Amino acid sequence: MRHVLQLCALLEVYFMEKMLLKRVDIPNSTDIGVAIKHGAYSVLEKAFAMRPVDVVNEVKRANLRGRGGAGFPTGLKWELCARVPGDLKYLLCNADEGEPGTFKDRFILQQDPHLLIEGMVISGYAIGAERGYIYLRYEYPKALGILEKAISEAYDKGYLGKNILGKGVNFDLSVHRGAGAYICGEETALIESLEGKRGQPRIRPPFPASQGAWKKPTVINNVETLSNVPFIISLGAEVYSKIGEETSPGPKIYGVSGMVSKPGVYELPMGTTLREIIFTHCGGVRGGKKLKAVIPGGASTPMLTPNHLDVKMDYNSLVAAGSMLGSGAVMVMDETVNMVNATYVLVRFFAHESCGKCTPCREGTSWLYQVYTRLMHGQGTPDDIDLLLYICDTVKGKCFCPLGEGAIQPVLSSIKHFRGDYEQCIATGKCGH
Amino acid sequence: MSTSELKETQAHCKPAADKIMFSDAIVDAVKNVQKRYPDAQGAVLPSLHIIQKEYGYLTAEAIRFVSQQLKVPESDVFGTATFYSLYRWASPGRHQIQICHNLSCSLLGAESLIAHLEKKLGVCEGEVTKDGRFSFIRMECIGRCDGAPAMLVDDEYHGELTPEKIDAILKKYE
Amino acid sequence: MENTVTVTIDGITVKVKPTATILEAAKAAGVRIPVLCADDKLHPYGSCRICLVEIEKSPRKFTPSCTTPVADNMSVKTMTPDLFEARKRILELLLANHPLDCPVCDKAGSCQLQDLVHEYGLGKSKFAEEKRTTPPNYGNAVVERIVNRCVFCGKCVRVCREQNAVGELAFTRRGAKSRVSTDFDTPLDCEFCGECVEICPVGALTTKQFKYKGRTWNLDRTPSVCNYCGCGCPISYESRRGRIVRVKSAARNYLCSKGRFGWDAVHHPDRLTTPLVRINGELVPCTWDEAVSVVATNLNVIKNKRGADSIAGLGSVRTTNEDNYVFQKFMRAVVGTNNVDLLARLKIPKGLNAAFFSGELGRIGEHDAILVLDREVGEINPLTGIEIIRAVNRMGRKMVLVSGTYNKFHKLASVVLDYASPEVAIEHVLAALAAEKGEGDALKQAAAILKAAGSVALVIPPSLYGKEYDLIRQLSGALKNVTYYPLVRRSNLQGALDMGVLPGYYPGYQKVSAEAAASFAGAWNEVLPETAGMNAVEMVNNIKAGKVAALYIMGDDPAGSDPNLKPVLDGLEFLVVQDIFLSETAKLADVVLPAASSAEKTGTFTNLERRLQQIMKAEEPYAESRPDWEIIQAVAKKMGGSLNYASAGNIMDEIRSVTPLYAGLAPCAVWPAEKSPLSGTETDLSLSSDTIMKKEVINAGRLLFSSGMTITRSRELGTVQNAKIGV
Ligand SMILES: Cc1cc2nc3c(=O)[nH]c(=O)nc-3n(C[C@H](O)[C@H](O)[C@H](O)COP(=O)(O)O)c2cc1C
Ligand code: SF4
Ligand code: FES
Repeated sequence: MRHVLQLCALLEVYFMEKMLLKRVDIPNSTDIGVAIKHGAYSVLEKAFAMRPVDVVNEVKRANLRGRGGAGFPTGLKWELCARVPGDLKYLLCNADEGEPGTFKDRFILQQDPHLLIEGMVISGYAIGAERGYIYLRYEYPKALGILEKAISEAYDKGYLGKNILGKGVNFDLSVHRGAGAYICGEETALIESLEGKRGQPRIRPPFPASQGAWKKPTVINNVETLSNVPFIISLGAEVYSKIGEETSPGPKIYGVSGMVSKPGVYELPMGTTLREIIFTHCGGVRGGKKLKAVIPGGASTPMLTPNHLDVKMDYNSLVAAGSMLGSGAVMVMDETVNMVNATYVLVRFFAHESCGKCTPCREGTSWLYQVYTRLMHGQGTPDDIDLLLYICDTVKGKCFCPLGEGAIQPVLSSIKHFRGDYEQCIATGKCGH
Repeated sequence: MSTSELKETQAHCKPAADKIMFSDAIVDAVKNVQKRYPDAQGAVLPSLHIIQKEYGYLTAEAIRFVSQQLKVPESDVFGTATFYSLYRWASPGRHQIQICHNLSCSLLGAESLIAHLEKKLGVCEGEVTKDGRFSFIRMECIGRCDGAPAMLVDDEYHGELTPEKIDAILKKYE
Repeated sequence: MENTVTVTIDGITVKVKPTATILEAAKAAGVRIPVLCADDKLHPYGSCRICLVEIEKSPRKFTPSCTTPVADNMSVKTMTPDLFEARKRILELLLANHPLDCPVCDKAGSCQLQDLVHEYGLGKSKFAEEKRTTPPNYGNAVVERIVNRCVFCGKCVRVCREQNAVGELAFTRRGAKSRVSTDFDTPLDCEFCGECVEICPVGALTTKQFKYKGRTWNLDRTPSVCNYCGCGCPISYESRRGRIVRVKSAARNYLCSKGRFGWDAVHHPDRLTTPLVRINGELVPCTWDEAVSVVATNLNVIKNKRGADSIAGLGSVRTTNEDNYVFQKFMRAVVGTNNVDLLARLKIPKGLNAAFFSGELGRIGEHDAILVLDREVGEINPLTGIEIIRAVNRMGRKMVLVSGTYNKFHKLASVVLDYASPEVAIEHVLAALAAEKGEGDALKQAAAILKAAGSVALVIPPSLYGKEYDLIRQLSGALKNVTYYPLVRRSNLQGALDMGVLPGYYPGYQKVSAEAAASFAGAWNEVLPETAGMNAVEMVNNIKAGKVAALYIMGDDPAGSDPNLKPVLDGLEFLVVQDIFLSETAKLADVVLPAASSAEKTGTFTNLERRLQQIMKAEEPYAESRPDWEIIQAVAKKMGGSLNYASAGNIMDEIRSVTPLYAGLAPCAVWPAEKSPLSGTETDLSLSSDTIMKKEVINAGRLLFSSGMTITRSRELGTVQNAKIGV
């Protein structure tokens, strides 16, 4: 009997178009009544019937990997935190979504906030946290209103607050609004910002799992990561882990932008190829132009070329291909794009967002920006390509946090794959597209 | 590329002269928001948001007020506030145009739209139009890449922009 | 050590605590790793990235040593060709936007960036873009800020926050535009301790006082001790061609604004240059011979006419042990009276040096809990304040603060007891301790903390009277292992007491008696009075009663402290004042003798911890001034006494021979409380009076710096004061 049920569930998963985005197209999906009618908060009962440690183990067995960019095993992170003794723990949801090209979390935040809240209640229960915050980027004013309304509805219905479902589970939740700083997506910078400070990353160790927000054990997870949790509990780890790639299973929301016919979010099994995403789902390159370059996972992931179209979009495969999955934000560039210009835009971004704490990132990004600005003004010299590589080498491996490391990726990969654009730009003084 | 982006915003450097008296409502809001945090300092960002929402921008008075309310040194409140790029230090227009110039938008023409805006409004980035109606700033990715090129006017998204569309949108704001 | 891990640094194996960083392990192994942002005083920060090392078998190529903890059997290389190149690159980045204005930078020669660039032989930089510039400096009192030279190590920001609990400086703005500043770059409005300047590795923060005064490699350094309060912080006078140009801490220790900047009072034009005698009602300059003769003759005349006990002497809590020793010996052996005392006894805690002694400041952090009964601790004894902050911030100790108005200590306290006076607070705490429950939450918490503590540090106010004293005694009975930390304003109060500038005690608290008199008479080769003399209060009363005709004051200013004393002093037949300035009291004197300041002589102090400290001469005495003991010796000789010391060292030898407390006391050592004859007794060395010095004169300078006349003569602190009160 159990097997039959599981099989049904499995089939449902295979035929179901969407899990994470299942409710986003329903009218009024943010209303708690509508959401409940479509299954919101239905997993709480099951989760609370399990012991917290079993919830952690289920997530571990499901092999859920963080969707925020680093792909760290979520169950392991939870276990570390759950094991630290202490009553006061925090669960933070990373809704900073600052990686350029990324907008997947916005769909959940704006269209299905109750999925996230349900995921957070379960996750809080698992790790023993009774207090949660959603760190929301300033640039999402719509989501702010929607989340605040959803939270208050959830309080009213007893899905948040004291003694949830009469099961003695407590969970309080509020939104903490950022104020415009990409670095606050980095988890320790996020904590600093939550504490009311400059969003500069902290030294690790101690890791947040043992000493995070206000020095208490803390788990930080991405919106999409937390939204996967209800499904892992309802389907069971075994069924869930059959979705997508074996090393990083589950559904993945890919956000595709740039020069494709149908930009948008696409929930597909983890490990879908880049070709399938761009050509099957997004209708190919806009205007029938030729594909030139793809950034597979947000600004800090190395660029790929049409030769890489068959790479599977999951953590391990992309690393093997010389890039990273990052946030799964695919940015597509066609033949008209000048890669010096494209890289300039990204370098400008990193120079703007460097927190300024460590020498290599602060000085390196601003130096790169100065050189690119010169190139864009048609004042490049033949030595500049080597100079750019020299600066990247100077920054490499020395930064305090991954931002600096990420900043040199577009430079290195664009020079590697599109050196011709640089040479032409320097020779002609024209670098626009 | 416009010259305005190379220009440093000096806004942080001058304390605004105008004094703002904080209303009871603001004082209460700042007191209330502290309850969300185990330590008063947690309320620094939200308190600044409350003030900015009410008055449009932050001043030396605002920094002092938050410092006193939360018992955080003024230099720390200022250091924190200036770390973030979206606190404002000068009065914005009645409507804030925040236009994205990051990659996805830039690929689809953000720079020419910005040039169009500058021409249409007759101001550079960070400035307010003479009639006080608009101010505009460039933004790093606003998470609307699926609708690139995109902008925010106040809290409203507008995507798939063209110069004509921008003209039509701006008409709607008084 | 039980719990250690083994780490190999460049082939050298060391055992360290598991919580140690690689940098600390390297230090233990005697291996130097270059650093800019790391500092023993501060929490690790990891911003400069100069301290990168390579860890064997690590997935990362480079690891910052200052922030990375060791692991068992870790093997670390601190210098490889790759690391050399990596550090060179970091330096290249740091120099990219650095102004390279070393020729006009006061830091040149002691700049860590300059030294590292030199060490790594950095030649031509590939950086050819325009340098970033920030407006050079802002109108600050005392501190010169040249933001362009900053290397973003954050040490100034952190020292101000972590060590001083002030937080005047912060990083502001972001990325390459970030800078260290105050809010809106307004001028500093802080304690002006200058610790940020001291800790800056480059020339971003320097002092106005030292600007263009000398190159660091041309300076002579004289280790000495600050004499602005009882803490006695080690300082180093730095001088150029025999003239002091700045003061720095001697051992990277904390210095407050008085200690660091207040020294310039010794160059103040108001300094007395020659002896003065009163002729026809006017003080006029004269020679030393004339002045000494006038003093000796008058004292001898009065002594012969009215008896030795019609003469009295007030010693000084600002001059050295040697000066005070010679002074009391002069009064006892040459004048022949025990009428010798310290006016400062009117302002010391009851029970000091008898019922309680001060613990060592550096050990405040060893106590589980600290009870602070005076919220002004930071103003009175800045170092005590710093040690309390350190105990809380670095050692995680709990602090209970009695304070009625907010100040920086509130944030550090586990509990604040909102009482304006310690008296009521202690009463309530006692009740809470007894009842196991207090009235308010705060009292309950405070009682719980104090009760749970295995040892308690009790920081007590500089003046403590009967009732409070009894309460404190009760309180320490109710707590475990209490160590007292009395606040002491005057720098050498302890030393002056130790030296026997007391009517009832010879040096080392040996009670005046026939026996003791005989013993000292033997040592001093003079006949000594056998009964106790008048104390300071009695002196005043006896002057009024006409029983005291002459007063000899060394380094004190009764009329300045209490204007009501002016008419009293006017009633004297003969008044001698020895001082460095023409004080209010000196203005009334018949003879004024110019004394050398503590920067101009050698000797010792004994600070509030009872630590023997060496002060050294950094400059020749100003104009014709002389060390106090030399002046007294000259007067004594003229009066026919037998004082004959060749040097301060000579005097100390004698002090050691007649004072068991000092007999084997090594320099920098603390004399053990139990050795004092008064230890554990109910003796009260404090004096009280309903009329004298009830209210001390508080001018702005005193308010700020809680010290006397000298400090108000500091030009540099004057600018601070003006900044404070908005002039
Ligand atoms: C510079 C930087 C920016 C980041 N920005 C984000 C972000 O916007 N959203 C996010 O979820 N994670 C972001 N991350 C990743 C987080 O540090 C962290 O790994 C993640 O929130 C953990 O959640 P997960 O395990 O669920 O992915 C960022 C990391 C870095 C280094
Ligand atoms: S001013 Fe000096 S100490 Fe402060 S951050 Fe700059 S370099 Fe460091
Ligand atoms: S000393 Fe380690 S990063 Fe600065």
